[in-house]
Amino acid sequence: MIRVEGISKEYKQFARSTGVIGSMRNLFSREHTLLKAVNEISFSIEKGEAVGYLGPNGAGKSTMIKMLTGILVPTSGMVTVNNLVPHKHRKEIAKKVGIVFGQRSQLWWDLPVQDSFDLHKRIYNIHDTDYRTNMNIFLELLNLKEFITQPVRQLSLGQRMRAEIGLALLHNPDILFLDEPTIGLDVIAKDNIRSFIKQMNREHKVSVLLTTHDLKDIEEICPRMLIVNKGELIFDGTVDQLKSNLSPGKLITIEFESNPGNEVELANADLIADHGIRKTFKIDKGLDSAIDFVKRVSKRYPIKDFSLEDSDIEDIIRMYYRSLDNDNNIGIANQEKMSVI
Amino acid sequence: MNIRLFSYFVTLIIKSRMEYRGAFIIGAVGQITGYAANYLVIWLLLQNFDTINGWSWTEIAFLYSLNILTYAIGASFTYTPMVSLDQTIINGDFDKYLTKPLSPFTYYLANLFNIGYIAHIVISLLVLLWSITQVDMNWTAIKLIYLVLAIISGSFLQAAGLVVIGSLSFIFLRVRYLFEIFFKLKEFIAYPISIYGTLLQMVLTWIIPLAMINYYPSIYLFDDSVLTNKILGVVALVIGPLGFYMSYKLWMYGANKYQGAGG
Ligand SMILES: Nc1ncnc2c1ncn2[C@@H]1O[C@H](COP(=O)(O)OP(=O)(O)OP(=O)(O)O)[C@@H](O)[C@H]1O
Ligand SMILES: [Mg+2]
Repeated sequence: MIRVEGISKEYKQFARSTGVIGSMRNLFSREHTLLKAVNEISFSIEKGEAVGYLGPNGAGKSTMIKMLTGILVPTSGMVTVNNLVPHKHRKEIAKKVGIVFGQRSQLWWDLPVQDSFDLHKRIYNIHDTDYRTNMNIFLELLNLKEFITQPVRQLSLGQRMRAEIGLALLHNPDILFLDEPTIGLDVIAKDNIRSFIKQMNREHKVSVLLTTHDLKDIEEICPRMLIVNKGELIFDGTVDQLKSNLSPGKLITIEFESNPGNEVELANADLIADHGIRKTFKIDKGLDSAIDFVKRVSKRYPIKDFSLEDSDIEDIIRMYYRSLDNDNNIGIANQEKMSVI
Repeated sequence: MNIRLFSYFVTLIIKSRMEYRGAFIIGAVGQITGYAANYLVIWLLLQNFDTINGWSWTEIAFLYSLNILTYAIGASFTYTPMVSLDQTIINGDFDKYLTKPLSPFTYYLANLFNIGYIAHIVISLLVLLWSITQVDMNWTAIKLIYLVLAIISGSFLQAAGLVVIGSLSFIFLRVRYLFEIFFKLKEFIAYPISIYGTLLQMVLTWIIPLAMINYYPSIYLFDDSVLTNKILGVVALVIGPLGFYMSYKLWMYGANKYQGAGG
């Protein structure tokens, strides 16, 4: 259904000057730096799968979705969706996929929600019967009936997002791409949307690829997840695999009297976040060794305080992002350790 | 995109604009007064001079209206989309035009069709029709057909100018000032270009062929006994659609260069 092989995307970032003279200069000077937003990523997604695409800000998630939907042309590598190269067959791809950008709207701002649906019916040439069937589903499950006659500008964000998702599914796409569909929503709105997407995936066999910063989205909807960082794919597997890969350990955050430097080499422990005098370690064994560990550390370096936490998946990801951010050897070592692929 | 879908877009646009009826009406009244004032200026000018370079008041009114009418038609389709293209690209809102089973060009134009030019169209059409009855010439069926074709071609050419500049947004991102230059250049064709020096006339004929919009159709209609008038009058009919087609190609080329915005 979706095949991605060694795909990369480089953005040209132009240094721009301001003012009239500056903008005239911009016309002629094409000085730029290249930014590799997606770096040699490969994966494939089968029909009916639901996959979460996770990564810190700027990891290249939106860029990937835009390449899969034909908006952007990859710099190198190969991508096919339904055996078509998206950017070369934009119209055909458009009929087969639905897209929701959490930060953008497809709805007509000043008009009742209904009008946007009518317009899409015409754009996609949707048959009356299909249209009615789908509208009935959306009116009920997304509760669109609550606000279908209201102008879009009067909707709450949660209502609007429900309408966006309905609109994206109106033409019965095989694949639904969602870029941060739950951004800015409250817990109840998130729950509604998650259960709807899940239902469309399980019952109507719509394949789903969604990016998010909320792990609950993935736990609820996606049996499989891909984690990317700085353009690279660093994990491809199930949520359980990720957990078992990481969580048998404990996280211990220690506050030192003074910064011992990042040379603190200790047996059975990885330094995963380093904030000078506050460092977080992951240790592999049970609680006993956690205490041993703290004792051992405190013998070498004076300790002010420490805290112990069970690594729940959110924390792991948070720690993980942070350690990647530190961009030091430890981060990289950890990154290699993480990859299950 | 077919005509039915396009007109559905226009229906939705009218419906949206009517949400802000007051603003729409004030805008229309403002435009009508603005253009009426422009006509008044030319008329007052001609009270003193009688003719400009051999052109009477009614002939100039014809020439002037032809420019405004074709601009208003062309701009209805292209002004708003092209002027806002740079902002659309910078905001990343261009994405959605590439994800529909429609040509991004026609979808983008349809989505931003501007009904606000209706005021321009009404006033320039009225003055044009009035000047047709006043101008000292014999109207034949051929000449009327020629006029209709000239209006169509001129509209395409006006639209092409806007599309060409809009296309540059894909490369340079900000092109506002290029539109300003374009509108300044267009002020030249408010008058018969024969009042300018040869060099400027050449430029307006062959390099930036704005004179094809109204000047050459006018002299073709007023005096088709001169061979060059005849030839350039015919050229004026084909240059519009041709120019528009080329501007469309340029735009599509730009759209494929679209890099998106972060998000
Ligand atoms: N149009 C663009 N031109 C230049 N650079 C861009 C463009 N779009 C994105 N980038 C850069 O590419 C990188 C990846 O961006 P992208 O939007 O794909 O990240 P993301 O994973 O979606 O982040 P977020 O979680 O914040 O939405 C970022 O460093 C960003 O600054
Ligand atoms: Mg993003």
